[in-house]
Amino acid sequence: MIATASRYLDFYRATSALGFKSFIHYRGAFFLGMIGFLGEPVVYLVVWSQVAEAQGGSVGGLTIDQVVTYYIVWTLVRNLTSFRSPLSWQNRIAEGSLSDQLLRPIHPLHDDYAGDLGTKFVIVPLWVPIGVALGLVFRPSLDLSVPAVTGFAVAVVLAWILRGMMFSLVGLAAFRTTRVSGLMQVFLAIELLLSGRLVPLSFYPDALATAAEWLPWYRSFGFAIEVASLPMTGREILVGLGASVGWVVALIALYAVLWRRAVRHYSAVSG
Amino acid sequence: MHETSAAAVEVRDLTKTFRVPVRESGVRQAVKSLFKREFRDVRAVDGISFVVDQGEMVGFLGPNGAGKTTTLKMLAGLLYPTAGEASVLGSVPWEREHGFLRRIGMVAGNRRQLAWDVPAVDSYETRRAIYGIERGRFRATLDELIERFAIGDLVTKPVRNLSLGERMKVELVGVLLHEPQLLFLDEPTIGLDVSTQTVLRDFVADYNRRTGAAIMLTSHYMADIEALTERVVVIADGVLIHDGLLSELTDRFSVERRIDVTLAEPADLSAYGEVATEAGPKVSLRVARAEAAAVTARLFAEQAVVDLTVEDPPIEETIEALFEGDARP
Repeated sequence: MIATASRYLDFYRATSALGFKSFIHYRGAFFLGMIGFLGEPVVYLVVWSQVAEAQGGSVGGLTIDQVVTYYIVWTLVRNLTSFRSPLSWQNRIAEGSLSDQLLRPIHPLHDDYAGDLGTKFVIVPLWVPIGVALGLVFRPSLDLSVPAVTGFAVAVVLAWILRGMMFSLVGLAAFRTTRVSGLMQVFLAIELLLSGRLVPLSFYPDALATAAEWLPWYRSFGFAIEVASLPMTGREILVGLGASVGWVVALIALYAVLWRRAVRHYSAVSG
Repeated sequence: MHETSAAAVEVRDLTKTFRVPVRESGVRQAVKSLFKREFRDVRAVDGISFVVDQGEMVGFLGPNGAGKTTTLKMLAGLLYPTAGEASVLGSVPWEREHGFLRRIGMVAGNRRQLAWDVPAVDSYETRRAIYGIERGRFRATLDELIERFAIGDLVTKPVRNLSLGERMKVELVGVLLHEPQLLFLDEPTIGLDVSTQTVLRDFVADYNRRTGAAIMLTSHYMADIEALTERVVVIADGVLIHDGLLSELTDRFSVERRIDVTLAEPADLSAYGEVATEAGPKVSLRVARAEAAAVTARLFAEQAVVDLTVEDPPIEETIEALFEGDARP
């Protein structure tokens, strides 16, 4: 048991280092891309701040400060929860690299997580100057108390794991169809609406917001942002983290079942 | 087939049928296929049986589409068979147990397994972790492989900057780091220059001698097969047509023999067989294998023969005839 855990830790260390070294080659392109992608949250931030101001200082139960903080934390969480695209499974099958992964005595999913973990060590330092610049311009009011920071750290790790599992589940479709991109677009549309990416869930009608809170998309994005940017009690944070853990466990179980079938199908039809 | 078997590979009646979509050309057919897809079954491997012993090197021959790669993929656990049984190092390969995967290695000449943007040494470190190789042993093995292949300056360059030959060497080193007991080599020398092919062959032979690993090799280059294996398994259209010594292939399948004759004076020998080459008094004849002895006797009786040799055709010609179906049983 200890030997196995030690081997996996060794694997994660080595593979995340490989992911870091591979990704750092693209740091320039990624940095420019990151500046480009800032357009989305900054537009949301400016629009909703204006709406809040026009409505007397709040929108959807959030003050202007909270809206600003939400969208600035948004930029960090978005980068921390990025994951290898489901389309990569289609490419791996088409190029034959999946076969190489299947020849190894470790599940390809570990490869994805470990490699992606390594890229975060490039992404976060690149985000820091952008985050600082946004902070200087928009002046967010972050809750830097120990419970909030700890809760945020745990929530964002769970969000990353959860988003990775959701992407990987969508990617499994590549074993049966070559049209994963269509499914991916549907997934991203749902994610945009229900994760808190477009607007905080409190902007929605109560019934929709409550339902969305218990769905995995919110746990893979918006919940972590809210822990850092909105007032939450310790109990609310713990319950939220529990829901995130529940989704992680459920999706891993679902993935395990579907993976076996997918590999069996791949093994039956690939030439 | 059981775990105590001394064989590295035991295959019995292994069959693989692929169900492939079929569609005729044209817009109408394209639209029709949206609603009703049609399939046909393609039997890529058809009930083959053979055994590979521990430490044995076996060449796997066959024309394109014969089923060689499909068979290797089944034995490496990448494909489920449609029927039949296989035991590889005591395991059922398609159950893909980690213990089994730790003991095999596969190199395909047209694929890359190393990370593209970083030097090979970084990927090697990941493979060390994946296979749980003890660091001291890993270092010693890597140093030996680097020295053997003379790739000290290559492993520190990003893989994308290497030539095909250089890349194949670093790829092979990556696959050998965990010292697999069974190595599947699928066209490992494809696209390589002659000297790199030789280095690769020498290394594979040395690896087999040193570790006692069993090796199954497919290649379109007969030089690979002749250099590395005595025994060959030949399949065509998914069916096993020969399992034995490479030298037996000629005896079994060669339909003709070559008679090189030197005459005292130039003469027309077309009545004795097909004249393959003619240079003054030196003539090379192709004759049916069964008639070789009689033709030789007639030449001695009817012509002023100075010198005469009877030879089998080169192995490449036999294989070519076999693949084209001319010599199949």
